[in-house]
Amino acid sequence: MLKVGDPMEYTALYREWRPDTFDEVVGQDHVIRILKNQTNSGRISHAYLFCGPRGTGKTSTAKIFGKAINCTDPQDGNPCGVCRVCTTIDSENNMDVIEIDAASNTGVDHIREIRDKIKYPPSVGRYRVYIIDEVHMLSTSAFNAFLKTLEEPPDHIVFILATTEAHKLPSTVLSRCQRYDFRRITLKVIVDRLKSIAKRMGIEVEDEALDTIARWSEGGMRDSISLFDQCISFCGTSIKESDVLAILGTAGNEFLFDVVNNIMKGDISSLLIQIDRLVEEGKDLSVFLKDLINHLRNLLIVDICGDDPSGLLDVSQSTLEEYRRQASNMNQSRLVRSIEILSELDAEIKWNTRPRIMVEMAMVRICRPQDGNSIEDLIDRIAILEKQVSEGIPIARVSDINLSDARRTDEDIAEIIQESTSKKLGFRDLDEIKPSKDEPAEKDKEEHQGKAQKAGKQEEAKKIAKDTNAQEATIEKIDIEEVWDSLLKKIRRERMAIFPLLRSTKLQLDSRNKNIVNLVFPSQQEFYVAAIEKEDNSQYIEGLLLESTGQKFKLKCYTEDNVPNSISKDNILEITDEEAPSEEEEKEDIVQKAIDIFGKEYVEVIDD
Amino acid sequence: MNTFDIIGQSALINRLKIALESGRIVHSYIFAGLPGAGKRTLSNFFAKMLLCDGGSKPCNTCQSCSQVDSQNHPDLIRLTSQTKTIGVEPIRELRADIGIKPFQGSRKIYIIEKGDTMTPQAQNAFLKTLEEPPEYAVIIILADNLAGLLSTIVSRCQIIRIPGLSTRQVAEIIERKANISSEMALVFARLSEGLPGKGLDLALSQEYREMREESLKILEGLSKSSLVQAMGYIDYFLDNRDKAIEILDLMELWLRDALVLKQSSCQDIIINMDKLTYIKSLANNFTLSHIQCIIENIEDSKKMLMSHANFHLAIENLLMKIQGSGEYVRSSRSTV
Amino acid sequence: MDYRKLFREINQGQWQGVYLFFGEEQYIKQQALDQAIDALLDPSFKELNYDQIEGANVDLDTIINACETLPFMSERRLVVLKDLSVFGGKSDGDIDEDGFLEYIKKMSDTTCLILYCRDGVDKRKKVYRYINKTGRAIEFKHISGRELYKWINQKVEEQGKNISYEAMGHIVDRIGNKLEDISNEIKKLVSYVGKRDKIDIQDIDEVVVPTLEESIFQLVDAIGEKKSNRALVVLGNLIYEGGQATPPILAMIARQFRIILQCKGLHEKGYNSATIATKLKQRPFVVRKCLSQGRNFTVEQLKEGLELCLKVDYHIKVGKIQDTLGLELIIVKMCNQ
Repeated sequence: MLKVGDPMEYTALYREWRPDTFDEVVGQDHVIRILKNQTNSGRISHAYLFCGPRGTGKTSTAKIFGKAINCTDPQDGNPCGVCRVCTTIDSENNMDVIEIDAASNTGVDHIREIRDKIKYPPSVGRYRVYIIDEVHMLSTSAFNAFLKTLEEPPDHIVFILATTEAHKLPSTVLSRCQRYDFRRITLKVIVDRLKSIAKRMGIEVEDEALDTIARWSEGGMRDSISLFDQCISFCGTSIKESDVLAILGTAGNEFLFDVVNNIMKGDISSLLIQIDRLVEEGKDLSVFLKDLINHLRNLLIVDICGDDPSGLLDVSQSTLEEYRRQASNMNQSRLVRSIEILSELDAEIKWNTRPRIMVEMAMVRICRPQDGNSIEDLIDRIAILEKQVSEGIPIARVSDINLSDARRTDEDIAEIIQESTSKKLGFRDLDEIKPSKDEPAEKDKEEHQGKAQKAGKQEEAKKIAKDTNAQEATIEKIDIEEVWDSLLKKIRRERMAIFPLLRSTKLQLDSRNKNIVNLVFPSQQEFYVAAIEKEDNSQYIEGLLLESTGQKFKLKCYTEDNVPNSISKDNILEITDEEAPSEEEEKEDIVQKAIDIFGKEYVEVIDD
Repeated sequence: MNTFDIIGQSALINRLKIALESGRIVHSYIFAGLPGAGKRTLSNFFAKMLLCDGGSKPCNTCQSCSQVDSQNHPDLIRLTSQTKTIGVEPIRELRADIGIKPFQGSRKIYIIEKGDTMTPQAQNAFLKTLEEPPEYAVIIILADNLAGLLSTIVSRCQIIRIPGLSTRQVAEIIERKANISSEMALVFARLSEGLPGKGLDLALSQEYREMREESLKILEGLSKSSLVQAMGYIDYFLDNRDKAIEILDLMELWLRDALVLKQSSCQDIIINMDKLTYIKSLANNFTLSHIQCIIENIEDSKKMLMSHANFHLAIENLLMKIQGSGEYVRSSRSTV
Repeated sequence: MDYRKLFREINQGQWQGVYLFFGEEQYIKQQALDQAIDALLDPSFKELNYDQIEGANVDLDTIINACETLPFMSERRLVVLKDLSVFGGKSDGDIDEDGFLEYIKKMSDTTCLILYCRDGVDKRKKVYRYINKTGRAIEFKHISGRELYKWINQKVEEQGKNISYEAMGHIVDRIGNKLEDISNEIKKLVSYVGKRDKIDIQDIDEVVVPTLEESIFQLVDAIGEKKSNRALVVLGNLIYEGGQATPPILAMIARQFRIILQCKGLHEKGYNSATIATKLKQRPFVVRKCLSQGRNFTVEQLKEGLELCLKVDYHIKVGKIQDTLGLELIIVKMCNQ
């Protein structure tokens, strides 16, 4: 029962509940069975290696073994606990079971000390047992010094090495020991243990609270008992889940499911509100991040392993059901993307001055793949668009506060999908299309802005396609400013060096001469003018103009300060189309559009 | 100092009380929380509780309590550090001192401020003491960041998280101690993100107010200016080099608020509630994508500054980028 | 010389001069040494006629002194020199190779010197060539096949149990053919079955932890067959149960993609699997497996797989993603195309 009163030392719970016999060790039956039998048969090795995650019972088992092999009256392989040997080992006078923490004794000298002492026989038992914890921390020279001893230990010596990182041990050490791997303790086993402790102590604790404690400890019994200890200290005899959540600073399972729902829906508003709630409730954002990443990872596993993720997911049955439900209606690429984006943030968040904003921005990024350029972003976008196209939802959305948002690139993609379906162009798996190496796509202007905004329902797109086919001679009216905008995009890709010089320029027609086009730079940029007027640059630009308008122009450059009067106020150019674009040419158009957006390397035309 | 000063942490204090009353006090604690969360205040309070001779701890009337209040209790030892890190020396001194029994009562308390700045050597030297401390000793390590402590130390201590407070609670604290309107108290509370110490510092700082105004002006300017004008804003940064990161933080906050505003239903979670009209105008001048992009750029600039990149270049580059976005939006509008 | 011949000679008590024990198979090598010591030395005077010297920091004089000391009340003196650096690849030893060689040529004939090397030796060295010429350089290679199974069976029976052929194969599958390791596992198994006589496959599954190699083979196999479910389970076992570190696992996954890619490429050029095996220096069985798995991926996908491994490796190292999660993502992405 809980003690009340003076400041006094109380024994930490995990110490109190440390197993004293093999039978009290949980979750490691495969190890215990062997050790018990060895105790009984006397066929003891002189070097053991216990490996496994923290808190799984390595040190406890080692101590029990140390007692058992010395005990004069073992009970089915377990130390009896009452004989002289057992009681001496338990007492302060113990000199036969020695624990060494390699983490704080990494040097050769400590090993030498051991080497010198091992020749002395044990004081009360048959064996002197050295338990070396975290043995991987020994320095290389310490290992080498130790090797010799491991090779030929005296008959009365037993070494038990313990480590959480077996892969760090040199193979020479590994091959000299009998190796035992301790397993992660499952949730159920931990919860059961905690329940029995709670019962014995008369503590009432909600099942969900135990669940949360067990989950947090990730398979380590000691950690969960320690946390339970803390909860008892702070909550008394009645522990609720909310208490545990408060102590850990975590938001709880239900909240996480909600957050993930919003992520899948792309509901930025709700996510922002949820993050605000976290902050208002004083929760730890980096704990939240870790929990969220873990949750998403679990969903991924459930999505893939459907039938039997039990080995990989150590959760309660009811939680597993909820995962299944959430995973059934999910965009897997968004899931993967979220995991990646959040993982990246998780690494940085500890050192960030404004963690809240970073979490918010990560959510925005996840929900708005149109602004990203990784493959995953594109796949996510296409998945959304295809869904919208098939549902007949207009692509050009009206944005929230009367601003034209940069969704044009999506409209391009939508247009391509629609046109290609109508023209029966094969459209290869977009997985293999990578973005061009430009800066964020929204900074680029698209080519046929006017058309894109018309590209609404699928029927309409088909209609446009049909109409285009039917057209014969056309007079196209082109806004020269639009043309220049799209050419700038091209220039940026093809001739990065001159782009900065051109970015603030305007292209204008000349009222006097149809074959002249005027490039106007902002005031005082004569230097830029000179650079562009250089032959190969101006020729290059003229070439671009020819390509996109079909007309030959001569380029003239001015700054705002010295612009001639001949500049036309009207920027609309009329171009006569002598022939109707053939189907081949139209195909090329679309292909060209695709190339412009994605880059030549990534577009391949498959004729069905 | 009395309980009323610890607004908002009643749950935590209650937990500590229960632990004390049941005698479940361990020898080593880590009080973990962001700067300004109240670690010092709370650890002090806890120490008072542990040393109190009265009935309901802390009684605030016994000698022990008054000594703690006046900061001269002989058995409450505080380790502060003026240097960036805490080296082995102060730890050795602590270890020597901890062997001496308490003068007055049955406990001796050590509070180590900024414990996460202990060098690895200092932490290793500390381990032994944490493993086998004298019965009367209680060690409290204050840490901004648990990552700065070795896992071997963390596993030997009980971690007490100091959670952030709600906006309302921080505002209340600010209002008591600073002479400002309740509206502005709310704003500074929002700005402090749950950290009362920080909220108070910000509220009392004239400099901070100016930086707020200035950073907003700069952002507005950048959304309308020419490239050359934009580059001119560097002067403000050059004049306030040591505060550059805070200024960038503030700019980020304005933009974040603008982004939030674009998401209908979210007005409640705006941070800079006193400048709603300005935020609206920012929201009009930048697209959502741009805001995302600019915030990313600001983060990059912060990282660069923290890695001692060329200050002038880093800030200048940022200004140009923001200006470029603004200009892009303006020019794109004119062709639509 | 073959070590079995050596054992015969030992049992006949016939020998002197210099011997060299080297090679990868530690267990038998150690056994040979133990047997030599027992056979050569009179137990009553063992202490006085036996010297074991660490080759690491010794100088020639010490060696000579040990070897030139006359045996006490015995025909022979035995000196064991462990891991002398002259045999290693580096020539940073304290011993001058020529000087040493000079000496052993004219060493006192009452002394038997056993040079014991834990690892391999540099067979170009003069000392090696000399000893080899006299027929006393004994290489202890790993045993396999029937010999291995005989050995295992014998060991098991010595400890009072018995084991089926399949079970023996299962052990070897899990941990390879190093006798040191097998011997340790047998001891565990014998203890595990307790009163039972027979060791069966389930016991081995419970007790014998597969080596990293074996588990990874299962893992990459599963990935190669796009069985993401199985791959994730094996990975889980590796990491959570076995406590394996992630970098070697990642390297092995990448290696699998690499080999599949190479096999596929060569196959498309028209080479058959035997030739491919020679060209890539891989076992034919491996090549056949990879060719079959190659049908599950396009060349592009395999290239991407390698790129993905690089990316994840980098991200893990700079902390952008938690290591296990990174590997799980590789599996998910590669298996779900």
